[in-house]
Amino acid sequence: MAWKRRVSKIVFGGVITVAIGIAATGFVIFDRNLNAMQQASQENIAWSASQLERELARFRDSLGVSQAGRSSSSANINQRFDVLWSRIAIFQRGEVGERLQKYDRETNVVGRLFEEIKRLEVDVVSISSFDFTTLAKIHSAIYPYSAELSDLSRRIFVGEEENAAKVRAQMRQGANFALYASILTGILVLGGMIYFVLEGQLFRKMAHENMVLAERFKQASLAKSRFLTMMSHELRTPMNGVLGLLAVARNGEPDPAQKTLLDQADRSANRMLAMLTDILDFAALENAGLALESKPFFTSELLVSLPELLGPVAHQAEARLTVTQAENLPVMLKGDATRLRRAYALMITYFLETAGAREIDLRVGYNDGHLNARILVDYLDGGWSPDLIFGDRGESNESFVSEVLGPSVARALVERMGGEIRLGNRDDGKILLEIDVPVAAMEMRRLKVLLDMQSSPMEMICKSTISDLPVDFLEAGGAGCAEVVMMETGMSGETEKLASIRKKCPSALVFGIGRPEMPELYDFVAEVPLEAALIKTRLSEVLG
Amino acid sequence: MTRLIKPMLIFGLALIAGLPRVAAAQETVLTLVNSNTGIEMALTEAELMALPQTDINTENEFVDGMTRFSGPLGRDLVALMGGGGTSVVLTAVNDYAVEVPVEDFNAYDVVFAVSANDVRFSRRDKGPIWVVYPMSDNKELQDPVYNARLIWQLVRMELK
Repeated sequence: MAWKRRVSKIVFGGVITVAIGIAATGFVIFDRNLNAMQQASQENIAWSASQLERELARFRDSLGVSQAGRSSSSANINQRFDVLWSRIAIFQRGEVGERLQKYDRETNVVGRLFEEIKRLEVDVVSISSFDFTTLAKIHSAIYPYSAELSDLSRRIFVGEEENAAKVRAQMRQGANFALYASILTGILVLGGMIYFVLEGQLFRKMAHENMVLAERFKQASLAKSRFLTMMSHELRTPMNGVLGLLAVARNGEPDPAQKTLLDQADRSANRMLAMLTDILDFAALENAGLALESKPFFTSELLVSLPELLGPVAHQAEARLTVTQAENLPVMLKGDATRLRRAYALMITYFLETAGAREIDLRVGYNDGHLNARILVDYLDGGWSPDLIFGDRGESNESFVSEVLGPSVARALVERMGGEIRLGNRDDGKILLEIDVPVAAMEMRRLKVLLDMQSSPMEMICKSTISDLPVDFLEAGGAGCAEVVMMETGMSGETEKLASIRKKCPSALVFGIGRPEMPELYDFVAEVPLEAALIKTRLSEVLG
Repeated sequence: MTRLIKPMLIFGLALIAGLPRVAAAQETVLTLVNSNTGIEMALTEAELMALPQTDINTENEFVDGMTRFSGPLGRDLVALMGGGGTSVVLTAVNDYAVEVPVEDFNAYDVVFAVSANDVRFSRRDKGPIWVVYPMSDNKELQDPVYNARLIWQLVRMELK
């Protein structure tokens, strides 16, 4: 293929060079032809020369008439003298004069004639018609010039003819060159076109083959990802079975040695389950099958859920995990809270389980449209560096081991969300990892909620569940409509009550609390015991 | 308005030129003949100079470099003859003659020059009158056809 590309370059360069050469030569020929045409359009100097010869003859005639005693007057002689003088003057000025003089350089007949008539001027001006002596003197003085002027005219005529022949030859040559150049250019262009058409066909064929190969590769990659997804999913089922059986075994009365073994088996099974989940996510990210969400969420929910999620891991690793928030953190954000939580969790889990962290501080702030998480890790053994994992992407991607699967998934998730993970510099030996993800801050407003409960304790429970949210509780039976009505269910006449609420506040969402008779009539159902996270997520969607 | 004044002035000059007592006082430099009307008039140098004078700067193959030519315009002389023709026959003192379309005078400022760079033409040069085309400003005039119309030592102009 490389040789073909080289041949193409040589052909292209050759065509361009030849074309430039033809154009340059054509320009030179054109310029020469233009000069030739200008020359051809110049004054015909042979005519000027013949005029001088003719006027000399007419002057001689006027002298001859007077000598013969006929009617030629001195005025007529003077007039002919002046005209003759003017014809000599033509040889002395302008381009015509220069060109005429070229033919007269050797003989200088015009110059000598001019000197002669200047000498004769006094005689001519003062001549009388019958002054035969002077007439004869003038005549004999200018007589020899007739033959010389005739010879000059002949030389000029022949010379100009030769020049004209040269110009014609030059123009003919130029025309021939233009013809040959046109034919050559045509052949070159045709040849070039044929070559490039063939070349184009070849490249089209190659492009098609490449596309087929790329499609095959894509299908193979998809098949691999699907296999990974399927296998990890399939493996989770027996692993859950293993975990269930381990739980049953632990609920029995194992002796201390057996309990230790069972605990270890349980940890290993949980670890494997987590890895399978990571593989599932990784495969989904690889085949771009992971769709991101953009929903409103409460930042408090995100931060509270992390200690709940990672507490057991931290406890097992005998490490301390603290989660704090900066003062500028908005109450509500819009983004993929689930993926954010997972990215944070994967990172912190990695530090807890692999890096031997003894203390992890996660501080979340908000700067310039980005949610900024600073994970500060104090770990047991100095000298460990997470560069391999968080450094160059290509290196970490191709050489990771099972421990870095989680961070890899976290990084892929963050990058899919348009963010980045970077290592910060610390002098105290701690590791600082920053996760920046662009997340939109939501403008905060307060949600109007009406609690329609059968008992005061139930009302208190509901209030406390959502008390940390920007919520205004409306009085039952008061004026105005709530945006959300939380209605206790499981009592008689609940359907009528629901209809009454719907009628009074058609735009309000009604959350059924408990186990309603007809759950499909409610916008959301929260069973008791209440799962705060679910209710808050639903409320945040209403606020968004 | 100027369109009316100019022919009137020229006509007035024609009347003056036609007076025999004035013409007799000086030598005739240019004879104007209108073959269509039979009018013939002989202009002296003073009468020629009394016509509106125009300057053009041009080169041609008979002068050295750019030269300022002064004299009456060809179209004014045609108007002086009463117009009505399509061509003029210009004749030199040596009887050389050339026929020029009147259209030339309308299309270009063709000057019947009596001087070059303020030096009056003598008969031993191109005098008394040299017909000059503005060749430098009009490339199409740089052609042997127009070179042949640069007639000098002009003495007669006949409108046909």
